[in-house]
Amino acid sequence: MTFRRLAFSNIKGLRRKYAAFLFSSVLSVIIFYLLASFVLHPDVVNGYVAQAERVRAGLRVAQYMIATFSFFFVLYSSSAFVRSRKKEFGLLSLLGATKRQLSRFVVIEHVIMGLGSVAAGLGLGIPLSKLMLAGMSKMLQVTSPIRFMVVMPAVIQTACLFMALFVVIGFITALQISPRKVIALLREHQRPKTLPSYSPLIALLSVLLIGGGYAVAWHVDGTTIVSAMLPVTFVVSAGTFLFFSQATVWILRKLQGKVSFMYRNLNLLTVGDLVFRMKDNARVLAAVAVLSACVITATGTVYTAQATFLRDEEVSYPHAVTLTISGESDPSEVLASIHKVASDDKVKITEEVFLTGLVAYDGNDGGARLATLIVSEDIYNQWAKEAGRPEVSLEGNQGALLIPWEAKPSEKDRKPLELSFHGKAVTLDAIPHPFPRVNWVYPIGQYVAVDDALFQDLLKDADPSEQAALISLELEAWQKSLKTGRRIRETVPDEHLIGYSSRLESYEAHKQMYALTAMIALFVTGLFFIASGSMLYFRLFGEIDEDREKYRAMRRLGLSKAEIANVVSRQVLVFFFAPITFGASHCGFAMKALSNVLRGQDWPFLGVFRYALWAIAVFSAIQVAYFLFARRAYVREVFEAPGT
Amino acid sequence: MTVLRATGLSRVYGKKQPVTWALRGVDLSVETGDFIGVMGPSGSGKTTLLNLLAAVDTPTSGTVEINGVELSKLNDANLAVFRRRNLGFIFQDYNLLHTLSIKENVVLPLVLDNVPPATILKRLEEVSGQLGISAILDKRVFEVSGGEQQRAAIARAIIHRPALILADEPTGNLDSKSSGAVMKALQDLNDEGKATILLVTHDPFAASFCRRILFIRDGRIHSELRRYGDRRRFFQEILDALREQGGVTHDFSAAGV
Repeated sequence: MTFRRLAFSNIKGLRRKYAAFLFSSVLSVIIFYLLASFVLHPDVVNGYVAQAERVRAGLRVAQYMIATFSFFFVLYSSSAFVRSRKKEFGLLSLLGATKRQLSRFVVIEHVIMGLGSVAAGLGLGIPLSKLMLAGMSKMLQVTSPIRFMVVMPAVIQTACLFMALFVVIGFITALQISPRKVIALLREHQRPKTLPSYSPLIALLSVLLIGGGYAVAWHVDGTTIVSAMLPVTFVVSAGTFLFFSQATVWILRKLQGKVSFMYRNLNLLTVGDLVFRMKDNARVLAAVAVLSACVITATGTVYTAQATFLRDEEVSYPHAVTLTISGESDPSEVLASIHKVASDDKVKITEEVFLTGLVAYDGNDGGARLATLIVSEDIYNQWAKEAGRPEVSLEGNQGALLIPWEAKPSEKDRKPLELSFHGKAVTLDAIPHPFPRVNWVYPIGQYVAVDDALFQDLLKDADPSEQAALISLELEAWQKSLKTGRRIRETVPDEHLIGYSSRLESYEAHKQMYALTAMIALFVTGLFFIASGSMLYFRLFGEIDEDREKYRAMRRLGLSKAEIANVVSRQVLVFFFAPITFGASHCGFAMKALSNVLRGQDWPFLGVFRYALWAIAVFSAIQVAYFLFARRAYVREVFEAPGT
Repeated sequence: MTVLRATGLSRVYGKKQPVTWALRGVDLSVETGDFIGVMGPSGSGKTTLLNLLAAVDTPTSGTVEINGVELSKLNDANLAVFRRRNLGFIFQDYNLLHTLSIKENVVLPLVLDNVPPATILKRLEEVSGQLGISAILDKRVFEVSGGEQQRAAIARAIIHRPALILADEPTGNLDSKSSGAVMKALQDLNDEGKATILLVTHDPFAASFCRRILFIRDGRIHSELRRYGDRRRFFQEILDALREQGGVTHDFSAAGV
């Protein structure tokens, strides 16, 4: 039997342990491929995507992060895997296997695992990328920014990277095995455990660090956040690490001292085990807590930013659609066809501004040709009557400056307004008059209503190209009316359309841009939660042999399977949910800080926290699924051995 | 009063022919106050018998009744409760839980049965006095010697006053001095009428503390030996019986006697 055969048959023999290792490796491959297939996708490379450069830079960073993360994740999985087989290696070296042989054995094993992971990862990743594109465009209500295809460069990159990664990790793992410590290897499982120690002082310090960080986060504002963010993150992270390594032990030991609590049901067993489990895994648990805080906060922030941006659309664009058309087209006909379009598409118009008049260019506004739309008193009042707006009454050279202004005009707001139309200078005695906000649309900078006689006087010299009409509409359910907006625009021939401004277009463009950002956010966080779940899963299974021994003893003492499953479940529960609870709590305070910063923009804490809550809910759901899966697998594994 | 009655116990391992018969129709009954040793060479079926009596394993045929309750009629949860109320276990490798202190290990059966803490502490004082482990109660499992661990395990086995104590090679991991102390403790408990004990061993020295020895061979009860007097003489009788059965004892712990 060659050594390669031995390595191979060993994999077959230890199926279950390998399966867990393989599973997590395959996950990393899938996730890496999915991201690589974004970055190297021809549609993204060739810049069909809005903001492609910035988005690609972001993706590339995410890719490096995932590569690094994958490296440590696979390394971690590998060492957990090898640790759980120390006894086997000990036995092999006792039987005369040299260090060289053992190392070769481990490296070959990793190469085989690497090949398997890459093949399975790509085999699953490619169909998944199709599914993901479809799912995400559905979820984000956008047309998928890129096509589905097998991205060859991504396949090659993924395969090469992971093969290299497995070989390197194989060597690293091989170096950690030293046959000189045979006895130690063999006795690995019998090493007694000392009772975890703790220092009440450090435990207290951890609470103070976290509390202090929270207090600062609660009170920061737009100016202090820049200098506070990093130190607070550091202090809270440090506090979390100390909390998991010291305070948890402290709490559990205090609990152990309470006879009335401990001497009840399964508490004795659960708490007794938990002390060791928490201490042994303090670093992993704290790392998961801190990272999940970062990830949840980042996701919450991305969604808050998106919501802020989309909300700002209504500020930048008061109306869904605004157009100015030249007098060469008949404005009433245009308006009629717009109404037809709207009723065809079953889109309701909630507000309508329709004015016709003359365009007077100022011609002296820093080169830009800004203009004033001059409307006759009659036409204005006709619209105002229909729209239920205050009418104007003007005489001589009086003018009503139509501005989005709710206050009652008074004498002291009156000021002269100079206009020139068709070579004729007019000075108006202008007073502000309330008018709905409409989108700013080229080239008209202001609207003014004048006395009918004056208007007629100007009109007689004007040619149709100097006349114009303003049509501005607000639509109900405008977020979904992009197509209607485009059809409204098409009611005017291009050569007669002077200006056009649409919230719908801008909204769509931003949504597409954010869609990718949101996809990346979802992506990186999804990866992280799968990875952290697997990490916990591995920690849980690392000591299964020892645990199995323990549970067998318990069973002989008269514990039913259900009771043991209960003890196990409670421990696994704490194991899986302590970190995310901390993560959620940290995130809550980070969101409070964010809401302080956004306060100027009228964001209440709950408004901001809502987005984070979404993230927390989604991740908790993932964690619950992982917990149920891990618990089931663990309980089954515990009872697997014969004689129980 | 009969504590345990086993009738026609058989246990077959394997599904394909030829199957392995670990036990072939063993009948056994234990009365209150008995101190029975089961002896036999490796592979004779000792451990299988003990596993069947403890309902850790299910017999292929035959029944086990403890305190009038037939074990095969109980479901998993009821069996667990029945076991922790009526049986006490002592193992070769002690099976103390390393995550708990000695004290916590000892009180475990009562805690599992939701006995009020005050009662638990009273019983703890009682049994730890009997077994001389009062001084080590707050230590961790790995901080005390094997003999002390086994005495703690005995304390755990008797704290809930079970009808029957089942012991599997209780001296198997101990040196002769600790073996003596452990067996003496069991004998005292039995003498004081506080324990009915069935122990499985291949160590003649440990067996010599019993009142009655059953020799088991090839899955059957082969012969029986009763003690009428001095332990040293009984020890000699056991050695003779073993020699007679053709199995020369290789157990060197006998040299310590």
